[in-house]
Amino acid sequence: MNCLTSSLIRRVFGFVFASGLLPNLPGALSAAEVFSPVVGFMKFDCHAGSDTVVSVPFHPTPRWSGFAAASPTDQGGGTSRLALKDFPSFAAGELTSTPHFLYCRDRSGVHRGRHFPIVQHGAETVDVAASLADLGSLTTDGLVSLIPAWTLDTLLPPGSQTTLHASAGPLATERVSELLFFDTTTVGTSLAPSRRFYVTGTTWHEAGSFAEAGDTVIEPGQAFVVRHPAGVAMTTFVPNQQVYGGLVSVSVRVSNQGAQDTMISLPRPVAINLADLDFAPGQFVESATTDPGDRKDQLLVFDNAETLRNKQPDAVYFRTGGQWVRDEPGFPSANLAPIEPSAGLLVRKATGADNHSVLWVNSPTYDVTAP
Amino acid sequence: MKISLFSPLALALALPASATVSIEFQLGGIDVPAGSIGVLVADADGDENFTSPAKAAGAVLSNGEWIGGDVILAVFSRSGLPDWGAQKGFASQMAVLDYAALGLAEGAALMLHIFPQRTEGQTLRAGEPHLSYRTDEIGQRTSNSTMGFTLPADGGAHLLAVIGPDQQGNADLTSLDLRILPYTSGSGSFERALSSPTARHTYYFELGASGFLSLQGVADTGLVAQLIGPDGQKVYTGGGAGFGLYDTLAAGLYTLVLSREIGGSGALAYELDFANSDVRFVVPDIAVGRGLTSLVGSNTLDGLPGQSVVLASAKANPSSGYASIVNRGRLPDTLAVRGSAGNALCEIAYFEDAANVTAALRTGGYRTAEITEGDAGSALRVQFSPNKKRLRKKRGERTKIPKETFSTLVRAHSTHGPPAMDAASIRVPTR
Repeated sequence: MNCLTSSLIRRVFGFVFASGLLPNLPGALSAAEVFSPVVGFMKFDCHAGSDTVVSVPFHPTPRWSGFAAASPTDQGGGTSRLALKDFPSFAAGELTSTPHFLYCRDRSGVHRGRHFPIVQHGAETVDVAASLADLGSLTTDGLVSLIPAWTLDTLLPPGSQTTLHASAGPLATERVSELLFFDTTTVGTSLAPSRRFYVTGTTWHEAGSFAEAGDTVIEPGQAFVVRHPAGVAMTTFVPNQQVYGGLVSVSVRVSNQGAQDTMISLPRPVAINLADLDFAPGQFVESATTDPGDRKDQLLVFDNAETLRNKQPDAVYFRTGGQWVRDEPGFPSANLAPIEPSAGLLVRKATGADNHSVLWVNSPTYDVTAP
Repeated sequence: MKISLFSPLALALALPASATVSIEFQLGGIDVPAGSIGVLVADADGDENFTSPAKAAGAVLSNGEWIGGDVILAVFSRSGLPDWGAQKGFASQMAVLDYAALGLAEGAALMLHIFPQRTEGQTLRAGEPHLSYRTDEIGQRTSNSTMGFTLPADGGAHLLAVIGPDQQGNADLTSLDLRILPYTSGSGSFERALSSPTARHTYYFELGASGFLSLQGVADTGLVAQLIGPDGQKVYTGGGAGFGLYDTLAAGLYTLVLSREIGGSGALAYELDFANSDVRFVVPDIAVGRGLTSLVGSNTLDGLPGQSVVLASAKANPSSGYASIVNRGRLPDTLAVRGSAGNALCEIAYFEDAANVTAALRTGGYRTAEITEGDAGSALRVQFSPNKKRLRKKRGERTKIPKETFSTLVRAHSTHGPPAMDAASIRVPTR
C-alpha cells in the first residue's frame, strides 16, 4: 500500500489503497488474475471571493477492462468500431445512457493514453468518436478500458456535494458558487471561461440556457474553476477515485492564425517538476533564445493561493537551451519548479504552420499498476 | 458610425482573439411587453454618449452591428425564467466577447436598450420605441456582480446583474416600464401610479397614417408628460395636475413618457385617457350681473333657469349690466353670441370694452375670440337706455314714468363640434 502526502499546505492528496497486481496481459499466465486498483483523493481549499483552478486526476471505476478483438473499423461520420474480447455482453445502452470513454492503455502508438467518447455500442463492440488515424495502431489484444465519464452529477452530486455553495435558483440574487469551464473552441489567447454552471439542492444548471446540466461531461485532462463569491465560507473540493497508472494523453491546440491557448490539467495526483512533465520537443516548441521576439511555446501556471476572481496566471515558463526557464528577469532555470498535483496548466502554443492538435503524452512518475 | 465590410473592424474579425471576456448578464424584473428584446451596446467611438435608437433608423439589431457610434455586444431574448414572477427580465450568457474584433477597449461604457417590437436581425425604424438603462451606482448591482456598466479587463468571466426588489435585488428598475398604447382600438385609459420619484412609464403607439390624438391626463402635482415623435424629437411636453394634447399627428412611431419633476416622494397617481378622435366639446357658459365681480349663472349651462339679473333704473335713467361669456369645454371655439334688440321705449346697446358691438349682437354675427377651458373669455357691457319722452305719462299736472320692464336674453352658441348653448337674461324695470 502506497501512502503519499503532499508537502503543500493547501493540497492534500494520497493513495489510500493500492494493491498492484498485473492485469490480464496477453501472453501472461492464463490463470484467473485479479488486481486491486490504486485509489486516491485530493483536497483543494476553495476560498471565498476567489477562483480556484482544479481538476480531477482520477477516473471512476472502469466498467470493463480487457483487450481489443480486432483492429477498429471505420463507421463513417468520424466514428470507428472496436470489437472487444471475452464477450463483455453489455446491456443495451448502458455505455451511452451514462457517458463512457474508451481509454487506450497501450504504451505505444498514437492512441496511447487517449480517451474517446463512446457514441453507441453493441454487446461486444463499442463505436467511438474517433477516426482510424486517431486510433493509430490499436489492434487485436490492444489494452483498453471502458471508463464512465465524470459528469457534474457524478463528480459533485447535487444532493450531497459540499464543494459548491448551493444556489436557490438561476437569478444572480439566488446564485452562490459557480463552476466555470474554459473555452475550448475560440482561437486566441487569454480566453475567458465560456461556460458557467451552478448547482441547486437537486440539480445542476448551465447559465444562459438554464437547462439541467448534470450530464455535462468533464473530459480527462480538463481543468475547471470553482468560483465562490465573497462572504461565504471556504469549502474543500475532494476528488477521489482510481489513479491513472498508465499514460494519459491530452490534446493541445495549435493555430496558424496566431498563438493559441489550451487549458489542460496534470492528470496526476502528485507534484511534478517541470522537467518531468514529458513535454517532448515535438509537443512543446523551444524558444531559440530568451528574447521575447524568439518566444515560442509557453506554459502558464495559476496560483490558487491568491484570493481573487478572474486571476491571471502566476508564472510563465518556456523552454530554451534544453531546459525550462521562468519568464522573469534573469530567466532562472525552472527544471525543478514544482507543478502542483492536478494543477491547471495553460499551454500557449506559438503560431503553427496549420491548424492541428498535438498530443501531450504524460507518463506517471509513480509506480502503480492499475487501469 | 457605420462599419463597412472593408473596414478595420472587418479585418479584425478575421484575426484570432488576443483575449476574450465572457459575461453573464441579468436584468429584471421589469414590466415590458412579451417578445421584447434586450440589446447591450458599448460606446465604441468613445464620445461618452449613446445614440438614441429612435434616431438610428436602419441600424441592424445583430451582434457586432452599430447603433450610431455604439457597437452591439449581444441581443437577448426575454428570459422565460419563472423566477421573474409576474414581471419579466433578461438572463443570458455571452460566451466569447472579443474586444479587438469589436473595436473595443476596457472601460467602454455599456447601455441596455429594450425594444418591444423588434427581433434579432431586424432594423430600427424612425422613432423606434425603446427603453434605455445603465447605472454607475454599485449598489444597484447584485453583490456577486464582478463588473458594472463598463467593459471589464480582458480575459475573465464576469457577471453583471441588476435585479429588482421583487427578486431580492437592490436595483431601482421602476424606470423600465413599457406598454403599448392601443391607439388603433380607438380609445382607452390608464389609471396607474408612478411608484417612486424615479419611476417612469413609457407608452408607445404607431400611426399608420396621419391621425388625430386626444390625450388627456389628470394627476397629482409633479407629473411630466412628453410625447416623442418619429424623428426622435419632442412633439409635446405637458404635465401638472391636468394636461391635454389634441392634435393631428403625422404617420409614424410615437413614444409617450410619463415621469416626475425632480423632488417629491411617495407614489404619484394619474389617469390617462386617449382617443384617436377629438373627444372635446364646446361648453358655452354665460353669466350676468351688475358688475363683472358679481355674476349670476356661472357654471349653470344649457340656458337653465336662474341665470338672470335685475338692474335698477330710477326715473328711466340709463342702466348697465354685464355679460360674461366663457367656454367650459376643452375644444377651443369662437362662440357666437346674440342679444335682444331694444325697442322704441328702450334702446339696448352692447359694448366690448369701448367698441359698440350692438349690430353684431343683434344679428348673431358677433364672435368671441377663440377661447377654451380656463380662458378669461369675453365680457360685454349691456346698456339699457329707456326713452323718457315716450315713457312719460301725464297725470294731471304731473308726469310719471310708468313701470315697464325691459330685458335682453344673451345667448351663446358653439360654432365647432356638437351644438351647445347657454343663455342668461338681464332685466331692467323702470320705476
